[in-house]
Amino acid sequence: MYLDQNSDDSALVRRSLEGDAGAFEQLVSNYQRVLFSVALRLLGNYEDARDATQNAFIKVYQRLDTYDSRYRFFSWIYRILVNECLNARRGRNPEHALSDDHRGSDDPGASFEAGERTRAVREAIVALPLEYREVIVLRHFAALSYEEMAAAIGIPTKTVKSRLHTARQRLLGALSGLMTR
Amino acid sequence: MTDPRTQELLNGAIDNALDPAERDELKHLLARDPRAATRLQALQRMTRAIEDLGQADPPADLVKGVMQAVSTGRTNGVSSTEGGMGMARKVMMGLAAAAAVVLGVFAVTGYPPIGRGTEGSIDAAKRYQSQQLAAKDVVLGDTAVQEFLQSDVFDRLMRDDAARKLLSNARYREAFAQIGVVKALSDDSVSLALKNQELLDLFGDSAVLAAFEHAAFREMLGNVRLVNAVADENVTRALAVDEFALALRNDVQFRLKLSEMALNHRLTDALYLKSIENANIRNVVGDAQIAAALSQADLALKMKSNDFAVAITTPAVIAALKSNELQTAMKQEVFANLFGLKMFQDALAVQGVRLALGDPNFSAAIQAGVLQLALKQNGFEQAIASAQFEAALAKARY
Repeated sequence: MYLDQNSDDSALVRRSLEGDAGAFEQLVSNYQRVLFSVALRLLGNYEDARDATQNAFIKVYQRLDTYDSRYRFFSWIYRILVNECLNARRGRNPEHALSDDHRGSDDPGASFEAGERTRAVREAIVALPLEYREVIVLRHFAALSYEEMAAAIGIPTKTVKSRLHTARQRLLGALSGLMTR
Repeated sequence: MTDPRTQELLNGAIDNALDPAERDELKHLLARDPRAATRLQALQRMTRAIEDLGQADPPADLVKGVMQAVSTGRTNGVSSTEGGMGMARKVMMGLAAAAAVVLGVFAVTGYPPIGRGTEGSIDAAKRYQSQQLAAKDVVLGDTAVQEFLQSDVFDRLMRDDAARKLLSNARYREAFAQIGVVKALSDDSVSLALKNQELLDLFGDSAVLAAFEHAAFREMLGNVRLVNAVADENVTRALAVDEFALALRNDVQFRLKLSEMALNHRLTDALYLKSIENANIRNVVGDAQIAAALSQADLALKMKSNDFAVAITTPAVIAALKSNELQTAMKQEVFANLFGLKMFQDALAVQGVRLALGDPNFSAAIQAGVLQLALKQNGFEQAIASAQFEAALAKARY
């Protein structure tokens, strides 16, 4: 699992609200990797993903007193992150998309074929409409269950399954050449 | 094309979400349907390719950046409850919008800045020489200003074509010279607000840029109380509507009412904004209860009616608008039409009538036209104003 089911989240939130900066820093540390990964795969751009993730955490802090501990912390912060990602996309020149995924482009050991494959998969994901992209990203980069995705996105579980199926159909179509090698 | 059950089983297998019975079902399916088996293999290869991308390493300074930002906000009551943060943020945003433009103008043009006598150059400005900006042009001595000019926010602002165009516009420079916005720079919250990423969003908003054309908007920037309203996203959008902008420019009382957050909330409604051109409506929208009543979509529609515009000048109608019964009744078209009748306006002065509006029987009578006809009879005016009529209505209700 990429994302631990951290039962301490509520305690960290409570301590943050009491003014414990260390507690909030711990929350940021715990979630920075998964949130940044989700943002990167949603946006396809390293700088935008960094900004969206940082802004999301700042908003999380500002709105921490509205978090309902009966619900999973990730579901709550994911929705904030998605809003930030949408804002980032609105303010960006589309031609700059996909230009700055440091992880993919800076891997010196990757073969040309592997690099081509990585780039094709990355581009195929970003090319999906948001509703399909986010289920793929949440499933494969945040390892959420159907139910967790439903809670995070705010849609029925049945719709999650349907979107996942459609998203995979589209990805198979986009990557058909790659998948037969 | 695979059938829905096959799709569900294949995707369930990919997601490791099948129970034992479903796994058996899938096993039998794959044994009898080679196409399904081929499909599953393709899905598995694709899933591996996706997951091979893996999670990305976050920027090394992400946690530090977040903690610096929130620690800055905390000094302004970020963790306080009861909406304190929301208001603080709005104030900060509004001031920041004003201050950043001024700072930008100063930085690009060398316009005489605040802090005369404490002038000093800023090394950070050298970064922007490609935009014809020289260090000698930046003569601000304030620490907050220096921090701003050295921040990523300013860096991005300078790289933004729209922002640079705005900042180099002489008209804006002159406008800011005439208003009290410079005073805002002495406010501690400004230096904190300048680090807010959302500041840039304001510059990217054409409604905000257009608003700078209006003298009234610029005046508002010099008024801290009104900045609360300007910082409101809804107001920002509203500024793009001509009627709103005109009212803003010509009506001092309306500008004061902008500080009512209940009003600001209504500014998302296009019909409402159009109705603002009507002075009668502007006169009452500052009232929180009226604003709440008008927040109903059906009432917003009726505000476009001339009859309503006239009626709303009547104290009885204003009082009635605050009643739940009338707000409910207004959902019926027939009531909107009645507003044009003086008799109906007078009738609303009678508490019994207002209460009766929530009564289904009364409502049915109105719709049947019987009461509408009666309302047009002179004798009825005296009748409904009588204590007996009110008593009768009360008796009928209970």
